This record gives sequence, structure tokens and C-alpha cells, in this order.
Amino acid sequence: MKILSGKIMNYKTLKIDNLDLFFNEIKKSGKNLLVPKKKGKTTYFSSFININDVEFNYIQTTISPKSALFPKVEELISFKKDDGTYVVTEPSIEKETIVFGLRPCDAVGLEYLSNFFLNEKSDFTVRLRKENTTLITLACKNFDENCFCTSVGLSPASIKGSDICLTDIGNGLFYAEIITDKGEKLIAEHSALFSNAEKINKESYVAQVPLKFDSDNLIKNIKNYYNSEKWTINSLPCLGCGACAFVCPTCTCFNIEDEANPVCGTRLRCWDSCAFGIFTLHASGHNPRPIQSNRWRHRVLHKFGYSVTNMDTLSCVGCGRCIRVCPAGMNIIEQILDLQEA
Amino acid sequence: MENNNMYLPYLMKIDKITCEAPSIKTFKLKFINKEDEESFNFKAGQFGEYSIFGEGESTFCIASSPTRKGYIECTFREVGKITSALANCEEGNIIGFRGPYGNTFPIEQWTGKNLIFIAGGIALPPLRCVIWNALDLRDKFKDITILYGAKTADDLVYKYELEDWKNRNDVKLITTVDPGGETKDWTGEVGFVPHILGKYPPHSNNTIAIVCGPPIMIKLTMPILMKLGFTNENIFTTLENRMKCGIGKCGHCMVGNNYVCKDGPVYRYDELLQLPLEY
Amino acid sequence: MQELNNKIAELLTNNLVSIFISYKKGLNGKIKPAFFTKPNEVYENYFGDEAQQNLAVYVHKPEVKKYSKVGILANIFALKALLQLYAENQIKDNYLTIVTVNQDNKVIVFADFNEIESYIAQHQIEKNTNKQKEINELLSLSREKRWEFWVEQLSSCIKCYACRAICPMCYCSKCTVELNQPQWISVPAHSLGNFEWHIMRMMHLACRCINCQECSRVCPMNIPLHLLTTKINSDMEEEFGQIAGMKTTLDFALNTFKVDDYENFIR
Ligand code: SF4
Ligand code: SF4
Ligand code: SF4
Ligand code: SF4
Ligand code: FES
Repeated sequence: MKILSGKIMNYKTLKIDNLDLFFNEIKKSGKNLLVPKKKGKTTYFSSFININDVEFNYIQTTISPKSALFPKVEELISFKKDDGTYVVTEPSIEKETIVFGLRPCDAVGLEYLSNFFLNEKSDFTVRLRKENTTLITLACKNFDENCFCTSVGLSPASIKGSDICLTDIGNGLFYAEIITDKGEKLIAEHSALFSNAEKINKESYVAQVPLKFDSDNLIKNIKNYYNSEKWTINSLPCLGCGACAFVCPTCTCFNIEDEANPVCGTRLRCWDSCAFGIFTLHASGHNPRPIQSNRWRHRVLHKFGYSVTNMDTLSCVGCGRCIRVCPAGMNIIEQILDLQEA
Repeated sequence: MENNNMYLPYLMKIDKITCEAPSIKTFKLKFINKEDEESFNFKAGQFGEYSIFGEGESTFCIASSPTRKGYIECTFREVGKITSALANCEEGNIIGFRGPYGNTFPIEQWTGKNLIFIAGGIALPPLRCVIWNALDLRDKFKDITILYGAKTADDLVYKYELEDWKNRNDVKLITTVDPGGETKDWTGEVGFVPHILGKYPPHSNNTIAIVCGPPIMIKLTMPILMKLGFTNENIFTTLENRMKCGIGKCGHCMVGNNYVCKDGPVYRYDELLQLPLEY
Repeated sequence: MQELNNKIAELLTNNLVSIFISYKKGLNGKIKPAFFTKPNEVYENYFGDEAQQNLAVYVHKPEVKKYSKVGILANIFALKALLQLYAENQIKDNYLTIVTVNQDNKVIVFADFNEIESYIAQHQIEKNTNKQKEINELLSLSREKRWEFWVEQLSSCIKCYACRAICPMCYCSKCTVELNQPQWISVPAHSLGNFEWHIMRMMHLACRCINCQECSRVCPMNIPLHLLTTKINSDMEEEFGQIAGMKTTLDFALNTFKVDDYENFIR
């Protein structure tokens, strides 16, 4: 698997008490700072307003931070009627964004997502956002039974995809690994808050996530699983909603829809999911994936098979969100174990 | 890496509308912008996203030949929201187009070979592009045969061109309609495409078959071609999965790990057999 | 639980059902739907407070319909949903074997929907006072404040349609959000499109929602959809005296249909 981010450039520490200052400085500089927030049982990323509504107590956010690069709705073009023809304009470049509090698996997920969008025919808006986004990852101290980063070759200590990675090392201190130029630049802008540090061994400060399955074995055998009879029985609970794909940091599928009044309008891109029955429906009424088990299989094989063939990497980072969110208790780990058992 | 917005369409003027058959129309489209026209290039088999601003985009192949410059043509059936909006357009209206997308028929490799085109229903447009391409370079190929069938005589598209091909002595054209679909003055065949193919068996020797039609036609045609000695490597077809982006991003067209919009839509039959049956 | 397991195994063994829908514990400890086809799988069966999902939703699933006879473990909400579905002509006769466990832990196999009707009549679900408090609080706000509340809530909807998918009463094979000629509802999940979607869904559920509140439970964005359904339900009861999931016969307050309607569009 490809490691696309460079090695760590620098080490610092940041007093946890100074986060408030750090956030407010970023806000003052006019950048958009996305932080985890809580609403009932849901944690999601939203613009920073006040340190008091930043949520720190979560294993993993319910909603992934992918909307920083690939929002649920965005404009691709806008158009205006003009004397029988149209004037078409492109969306303007958004302002700089900092995402704070994503997990190490998310950073890898977003790296996959941007690599996917930028390869071959490079996607305009994702590229602009990627250039303007800095990721400050928070290494995990805890995990739950749905986390499986270690089974997909990652760990709570991974720095892949992050610009800055923070680890709580006790005594009110964050240990900061500065990984990219973007991270370096951000730290430089707020240098008074950071102190120099030596490289430490993070292992004892991060969660130790047990292995759930053997992904090498999975990748090796995945071609044989397409015809397994287990897809049907295992997918009976699946209701074909979009929840798993919409919370997933690496699901990239979308729909394009126009909205307009008689004078002007926009062409919008919005999230879509291969779990929906109409996702593949032809105009003729023919559906290449007519039943839910076909759709569930496509999702699992995309994550663990198709993206390995196409992009030389798994497109599941083991964040466990799809498992936590599924209204019907579908569990991608169970499915894999069941396939491997045969 | 390209720097532009892939979703920015060309503005195209509808130069001419032809009613082909009930609810099937052909648009001849010209670029509004001269530079676009000059820089635009495509090859046989490619497709594009045609849009009505405010309604949305729809995917069809480019039905005209790349040898004819300065315009493109598309043929579509009115089935949904966007095709209905397109069908309501008048000559002179402006629509959007982005493309060309997808891979192409390897016409260069067919020099010196016989070509047989087998099409059913609305599937002639993707082949028409290749047919005209081949006819415009007629010396490069040996025999050219076209077998085209539709439900009824009325449903045949490009009737004026069928007439033209019939009268050419360098093309062999066989048209057929499903039993019951013939009119009084129908002079073509009556019967389903696979059946008529069996009736006029083409030589498989040094021949490329280009087959396009509804899944059931393909399914019944293949065994006949096999019996005639065609090999999978000499049969080509195009797939038409649901598409949204056309550039390998939206995921709608995926068949296994294949993106029909970028790895297809043209498949050699042996390549097609490698894919899961999700098209 | 043993009595229930025995019953399920018995139904499967005697071929009275070819599949039985119940619950089991998943790998992560979460209770999830189980689909038993063989008696020797039934040991996995689970029934208890954590078994929340309204299983009635599965009677619509094409893969389930393929089984000739289906057994289903129904809690009180699933019973109400099944009864409402029966009234709406969505359940073939003699297709379902419906089983419940009453408050004394007795296993009941219903002979027909009339029995379910009287069971439900005897087992009224108490009004959840917390929910009622939430609604009253909202009602005490000014119109503008209520508007603000719903703008904030509904803007966050990501249109994953989990609420629709989990809902036993949302069974249309082509939901209004999927119709585009004309385009009734904006597809994108922006505020306007989300309002259109939820107003439409609520209208379609008025007097049909059996108040299981599954939509609120599954919403990834924690949108309190039950406030809307509960309020509509109580309005329906007050204005029209109608409560969904109580009767074998149909009586819609806001819409009507005839099986022998001479117009075709309805079919
Ligand atoms: S797996 Fe769960 S979340 Fe995903 S489509 Fe199925 S029911 Fe919805
Ligand atoms: S498939 Fe599930 S576990 Fe894997 S990255 Fe997506 S949401 Fe996370
Ligand atoms: S799993 Fe499905 S929704 Fe996710 S990226 Fe793959 S095809 Fe798209
Ligand atoms: S479950 Fe929640 S987020 Fe999903 S469509 Fe329903 S209200 Fe919106
Ligand atoms: S049409 Fe979007 S990926 Fe092929």
C-alpha cells in the first residue's frame, strides 16, 4: 500500500489549556475552523464558535469529516439566461479551512478520498478545498468494539494523511507531530503557543486496538468471494438507506442535479449511495443490481477489492462508522469474518 | 493534471432536429464558441453529457462520425425528465455538452478486415458513428455488412440513411422488423435479429462483429456468432449503464471495479466476460 | 425465552414458516434482526428490552417476500404496524405467522388480524410523558422561535433516508422523492429540499404512523422526527378521532382510495 505523505518534519508540545487561545487565534485570522460538536447521540464537525461547545469525549464522530473536502451539497456550476443563451460561471474558491479533532483513520480516509477525486481527471472543487484544508488529527486514547483500524494496516498512532497530529501525553500537554508544510505553516502562525520538543514514542499514549481480521488474507481471496452465497443471508437486515455511505470518510459517490428558476440556476452535486435501489436503475427499468444483497456486496467489495485493483489501497480505514450508524445492525466486520470462515 | 472544472459544459446550438421514430429524435449540435469547435476532438464510441440548464444532464453516445468536423449529433429516446426536456427543444436553442468521454472502438486495428454491424432498436446510434467512420475511410476495409432490426418499421431510426446504405454497392444492408411490425410496403426481413443473422450467416473469417442492442438480443446473438466461428476477441459491444459524471467519479456506472464511463463503454467480448453481470 | 425459542423452532421444523424474523446479538453486542431458516439456528434468538427495531419493515423486502411463509416476532409497535399494513392491503392472507411475547412472558401466536386488533386494544401503550413535555415546550414557543428550531434541525438532514428505510409505513416502491416528472421534491440535502422532504413524509404518515419512533432512533443527525409524528398523531386523534394501527379496517382522515377505482394512475 502506498504511503503518500512525507515523514515527520518537526515535534512540538501544546498546553491543552491553550487550545482555546489557539482556536480563537485561528478564528480571528478569518479561517474556517471545524471542530467536533455534540447533539444528543450525534457528534459531527461544525464551525468553531466557542470552546465550550467543542466536544472532546468521543470515540469517533458519528459523521466523518469528509464534508470539508466533499460537502453533502455543493455547486459545480451556475448559469444565467442571457438573451437566448447562457452565461455559465464556476463556483468561487472557498476560504482556508482547518479541521480539528479528526482521528488518524479519518486522515487516511480523506487522503484516499482526495487521491480518488484528483487522479486522472482531477476534480476541480475537491482539489481547491484540499489545497486550502489543514488537518489537525487527534490520536485516539480509547476505542470501541467497532473500531478496526489495525485490521486494515493502520493504527491510532498513524500520521498518514495528517498535517499535524496531536497526542495527549498527560500533564495537560499535547505532543504535536508536524508532518507537512501546511502543518508547519499553521504552527508558525501561532508559534507562541507551541514549544519545541523531542521525538517520543507515542505507543504508550494511544489506544491498543485489537486485530479483528487478516486483511492480507482478505485481499488475496477477495476474488473468490463474489459468488459466495453468504451475501444474501447476511444482507437480509440491510434496508438500503444511505446512512453507511454518507457517514463513511471514503465513500465518494454522488449525484448531479439542476435547480433553477426561469432566469438562473445551479448544477449541484450531492452525496449518493450504491445502497439505494435507484442508484443503478436504467431508464428502461432494467437494474443491474436489482436486489439489496447485490448492493451490499458491491459496497464491501469496493472497499476491500475494487479499490485495491484500481488504486492499490483498501478504501476502508476501519473507523467503524457504518457499523455504529446502521439502523439494522449490519456489520462489515461480521461480513468479512463470515466470508473468511468458508 | 488538468486545471479546469470538468463539469463546465460547452454551449451548443441545436442546428437541426430530425424526428427519427416515435419519441426518438436526432439533434445536430454546433459549438457556439469557435475555439471550442477547433479544439474539440473525439473518436468513434465515445459519449457525452448533454444538458438542459435547469433540468439536468443526460448521457448519450456521439452518433455522428469523427470524420465529419464542425458538429456532433446525438440521438435519444424520450424516456425521462431530461430527455423529455430535450425533446421539447427547438432548432436554435442552446444546450450544454461535456465530453467526449470513454474509450473508443479500435478502428485503426481493423484495416483490411470485413466488418459486420449488428444492431437492435435504439442501439443503432453508437454503431452509426462507427459505420460512417468506416464508410468515410471505405478503402481501408473489405466487406461491410449492416444488420439492423427494430420492433416495427416505424421504429427504425435514420430511415434516410438506411435508404442511402441500401443503394450503395459497397455496403450490404439487411433490415428487419419483429413479426407483426411490418407495414404493407415493407421490403425488408421479418424476424428477430438473431434469427435473421442465422438466415444470412456472415463469414467469420477475417471479420469483426460490432454488436449493440438490448441485453436479450445480445444474449441470443452471441451463440450464433460463436457457431459461425467468431471468437470473443473479434466481437465488440458497448455498455449503457446509468451514468452521472462520465469521468469515473460518481460511481453510478461501476460494474465490479470497472467504470463503464472511463474503462468502457466499448468492450471486446472477452473483456466483457471478465466483468461481473452488473450491466 | 426458552418457550419462545421452542416455538420458533417448532414453526420451522413443521414447515409452518420457511423463515422466521426475530433478533439476535451481533458481534459487537448490539441487538440486530435475525433471519432464521433452520431450527438449529434458533439458539441465537434474543428477545428483551434492547430488541428495539420494528421488524414489521421486513415484510416489504423483496428478498423476504420470496419465502413462501414468513414468521415474525412482533413487539407491540410491530403489531400495530402489521395491523395497519393489513388494513392498507399490504399483507397477503395466510402469509405471515405473527408471534409476540406478552407482559407475563407468555408466547402468543395470533390466529388472525382480529386477534391482533383485540390484543392491541388491551395493551394500550402509555403516552410517553417526556415526549409530551418536549412537544409542549415547543408549542409554548413563538411561531418564529419554532421556525428557527426546525430550520436548525432540518438543515442538518443529510438525506440518507434511514428514517424512511426503517419505517414500516414507508413502503412505496417509488417514493415521492424519487419521482422527477414533475420533480416534486428537491433532491439535494439543502434546507429547502430537506423541508420539502420532511413535510411530504409527515403528510403521508398522518394517521398512518403507528408511533414506534424508529425514525428518530436511527437518524444519524439526531433530528427529533418523533416530535412531528407525535404531534400529528395527537392532532389526528383530536380532530378526527383516528389512531393508526388499531383496526383491521381502513379509515383515513386525509386520503382515500378504492381498490376498484376506475382511474388507472392510482394502481
Ligand atoms: S448497511 Fe445499514 S446503513 Fe448501510 S444501507 Fe444497509 S441498512 Fe442502511
Ligand atoms: S466502510 Fe465503514 S469502517 Fe470502513 S471507512 Fe467506511 S465507514 Fe469506516
Ligand atoms: S461503497 Fe458504494 S457508495 Fe461507497 S464509494 Fe463504493 S460505490 Fe460509492
Ligand atoms: S434519517 Fe435523519 S438525516 Fe437521514 S434522511 Fe432521515 S432525517 Fe435526514
Ligand atoms: S458515470 Fe460517474 S463514475 Fe461512471
